[in-house]
Amino acid sequence: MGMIVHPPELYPDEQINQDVLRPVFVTTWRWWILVAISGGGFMAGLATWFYMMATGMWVTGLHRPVMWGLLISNYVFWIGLSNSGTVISAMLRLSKADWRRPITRAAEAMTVFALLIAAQFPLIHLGRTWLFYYILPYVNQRLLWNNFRSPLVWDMMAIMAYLGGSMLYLYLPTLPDFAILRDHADGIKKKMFTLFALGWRGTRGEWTTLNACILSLALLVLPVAVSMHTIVSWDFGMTLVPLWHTSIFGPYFVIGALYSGMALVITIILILRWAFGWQRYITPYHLDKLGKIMLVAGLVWFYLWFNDYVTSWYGKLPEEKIIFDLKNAGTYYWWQITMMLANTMVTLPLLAFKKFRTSPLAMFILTIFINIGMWIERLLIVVPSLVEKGPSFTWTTYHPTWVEWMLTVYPLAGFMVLYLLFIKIAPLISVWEIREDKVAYATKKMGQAELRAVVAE
Amino acid sequence: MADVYVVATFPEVDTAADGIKRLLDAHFAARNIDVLTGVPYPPETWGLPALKSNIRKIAALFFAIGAACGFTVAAGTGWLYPLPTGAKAIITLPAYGIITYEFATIFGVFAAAIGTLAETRLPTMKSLPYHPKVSEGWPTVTVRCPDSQNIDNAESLLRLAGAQDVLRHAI
Repeated sequence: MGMIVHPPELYPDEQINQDVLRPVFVTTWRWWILVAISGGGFMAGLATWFYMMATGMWVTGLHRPVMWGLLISNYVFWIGLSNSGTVISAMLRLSKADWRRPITRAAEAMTVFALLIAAQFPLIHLGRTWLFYYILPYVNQRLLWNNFRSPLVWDMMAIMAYLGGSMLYLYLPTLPDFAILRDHADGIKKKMFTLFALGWRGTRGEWTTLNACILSLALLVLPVAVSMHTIVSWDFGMTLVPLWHTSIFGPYFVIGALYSGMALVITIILILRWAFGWQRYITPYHLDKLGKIMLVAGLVWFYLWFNDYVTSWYGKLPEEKIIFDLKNAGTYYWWQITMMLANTMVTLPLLAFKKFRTSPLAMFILTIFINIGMWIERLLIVVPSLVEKGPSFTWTTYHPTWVEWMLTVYPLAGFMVLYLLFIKIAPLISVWEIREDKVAYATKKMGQAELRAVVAE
Repeated sequence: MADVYVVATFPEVDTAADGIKRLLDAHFAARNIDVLTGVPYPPETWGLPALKSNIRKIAALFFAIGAACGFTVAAGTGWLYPLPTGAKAIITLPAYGIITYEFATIFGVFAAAIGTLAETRLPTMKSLPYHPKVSEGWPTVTVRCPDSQNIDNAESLLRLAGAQDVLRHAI
């Protein structure tokens, strides 16, 4: 285990360029294998989606009254994952946390790609995907306008706002790095990076404006992330379905999203760390800090979950008790147990120990478990409330078909494809921000003391 | 007549700052001097007048415009195409507040981005003074010399300060 200090050892700028830009310029056979596997999964998922469109929704396991199943669970799960990347980056930028620098780019990219994936699920679930434009407000011959009182329209607005904000929040801080790539590339890549860099030179004016822009975007995007996942929770909360119609869903969804998203950020940076040998940039210090934030998110998530659980248990409203028993003593009992073990009972106590938080292998395993638990948690929100909803003669069970399972693989494969392609067009560690560490931690000799030359405001 | 810039690369921040000081002492106008860097340095580093950005104001202004547009679209739709649902009022403030907020954010975010491009005058197709060493972390001083007699003077001052590469760039 390396020393737990910040900043990590400060290397010459040429060394940083060499280390961090290498994945953009050097393509290994491992990259091609990963692209082939994830690309295959993605294409298979896409083909399944088209098959479902061509044949109809009956090829899924959805039937009355379970009209929301695995597809909507996947939607909530991926929206949750997308929530965290920009949030963590914006929070750390606004709080001027120096240790954020090696993490922000990977986290921001995660948000954009997870959101691009998640936003497809309402379209997939629509069945007749080609009619998606009905939700857009535009002048049409049917004289129909959106019902702005519908949470589904709020959802679309929130996703659009967050996607737009997150894409700009990813792209604009990458401009200086595109300029570095432009200066190091040749041939067609040079043309591509010249285009992406927009003529960035690094003048005083450009830096002043870019920093103001990044802070403004962080301020604007942070509340949108909260609003987006709150609105997703209202897709459930605004209905009168037992165990959905609760005011706790807003914060519960938001903190759950932060928890699972943080786990994915850590999983991703650990994979990058191993794949590209970035041990000197992503250190146990960063894992420790991220682990602490994840621990707090996990504890708050458990607190809110327990609030919801105990009020339903104590109230014993007949229509709620049926669903409550399904989860805690019936069909979904083992799912519930698995979820609690994976994202709470085993992981949270371990995260409390620095030894585990600073161990890359332990954190990798823990974060995978957390996300398995959180995926089950989404499933347990969506499905049990529907299977025994309404009059008892409509009660049923829900068994997803191969179509839904393929459409569960599809987002993961799609996310991997997007991330692998992004590795080839931008450094996943922000080069200029890593170098900024050198400025932030530069020292000047004063008498016998070595003092920091720059003091953060 | 073409504008001529002198472009000088420095291995260190201190020598670059010294070069700028020499230029200012020799009465080169501060507005004609700039520094290209690979990272943002604190504004005081170079001894040049601090620059200000209006991005926050632009974003705030368009946030307000977006809020007005959002409310108008939502409430106007409700007003022109009344759709009674769920015993709710046609103009429902909680629901329209959400649309208002999301519109405000979209406007604010895009205004911040477009404002950034406008303020930095990017993208540009012009061949502006630059040196690839900026990417290697070398501070690079550029000085615009409207008077051709000053070019040699600027070059020698920057060399005296420790510049490594000193080039001329005409636009």
